[in-house]
Amino acid sequence: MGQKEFLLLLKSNQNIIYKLVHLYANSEEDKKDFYQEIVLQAWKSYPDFRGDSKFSTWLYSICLHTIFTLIKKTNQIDYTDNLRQYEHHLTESANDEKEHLYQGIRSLQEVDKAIMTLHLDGYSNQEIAEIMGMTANLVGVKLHRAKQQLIKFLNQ
Amino acid sequence: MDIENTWKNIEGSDGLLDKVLANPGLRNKPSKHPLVKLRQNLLMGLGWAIAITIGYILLLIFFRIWQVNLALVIMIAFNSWLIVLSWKQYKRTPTSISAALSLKDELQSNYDNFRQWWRIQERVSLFVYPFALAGGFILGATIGSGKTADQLMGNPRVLIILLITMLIMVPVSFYFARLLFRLSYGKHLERLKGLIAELEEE
Repeated sequence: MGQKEFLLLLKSNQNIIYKLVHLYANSEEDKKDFYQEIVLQAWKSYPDFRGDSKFSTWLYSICLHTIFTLIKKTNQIDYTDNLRQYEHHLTESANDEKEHLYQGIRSLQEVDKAIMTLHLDGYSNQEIAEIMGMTANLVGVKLHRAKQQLIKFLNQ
Repeated sequence: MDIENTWKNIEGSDGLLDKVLANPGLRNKPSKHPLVKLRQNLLMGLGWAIAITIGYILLLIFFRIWQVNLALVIMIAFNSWLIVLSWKQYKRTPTSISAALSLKDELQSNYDNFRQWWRIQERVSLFVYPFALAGGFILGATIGSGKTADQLMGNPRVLIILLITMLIMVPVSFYFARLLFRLSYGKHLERLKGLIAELEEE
């Protein structure tokens, strides 16, 4: 497959890249780095994609592996920054549900963010477990806890 | 709020992503993946190790002081062993992400690659530096004093100075090697460790 066709395939799945990067990037510079590295890693790894899973699942893995490797700060460290950003966004667009949801997921721990995103995109606990390298039980426990935390955040 | 629907309605695009997808420069943009940097460091280390070994061989040919020659032979042997280790590590270090691995396995492999590299650095500081130090000391002392190595080594004061220098310098070099490693990769390794723990914790 040529570069053009590959990029078309990525464009048709760019939702995944966009959502994950927006959840993990702490600055515009981070976003740019994540985007570029994800596209580069996807391009380099694509010859190994055998079609055993869906392209979207494969791309999810590439995105998560890249982001988790490049991530500069953990959530705990920049949580206050996120909150400040969140408050700023809230005053700008108080009724923006999407932004509110984003900020809610951003407030979760790094691994929980990934689990929540995969869950919201329709992956089963077993599929999430395989992508993350955890047991399905542990995914269930973490997901339950993350949902409670998210709902609490959204109801604030 | 209906979380599922709100999530599904989020549009997946912004100017920055569109720009990257329109012009990704896949063939000339350098990767920022830490393992790519590690490979570069390994390659640079290999280059230096080869150059230094060649230097040792030249010294071995040039100087006829058996104590220095012995230290040089030991260093050449250690350096050759380290060159092989570094080369194996270089070949083993992946250049791209593997989607076939789970996230935890990918992070663990990333972590292990860095630890392996540190083990190589550790061996350099523990096995190469003492001999380099002893050889350099004897060579410098013979050139500086005009005496033969046998005459110098027959002097207990010289032997004590050599011993003290080694006792001080070897731990100092080991400490500096560790400090440099921590400065370069410490934060990255801590983050990896934290993320792996997060993936494992109940």
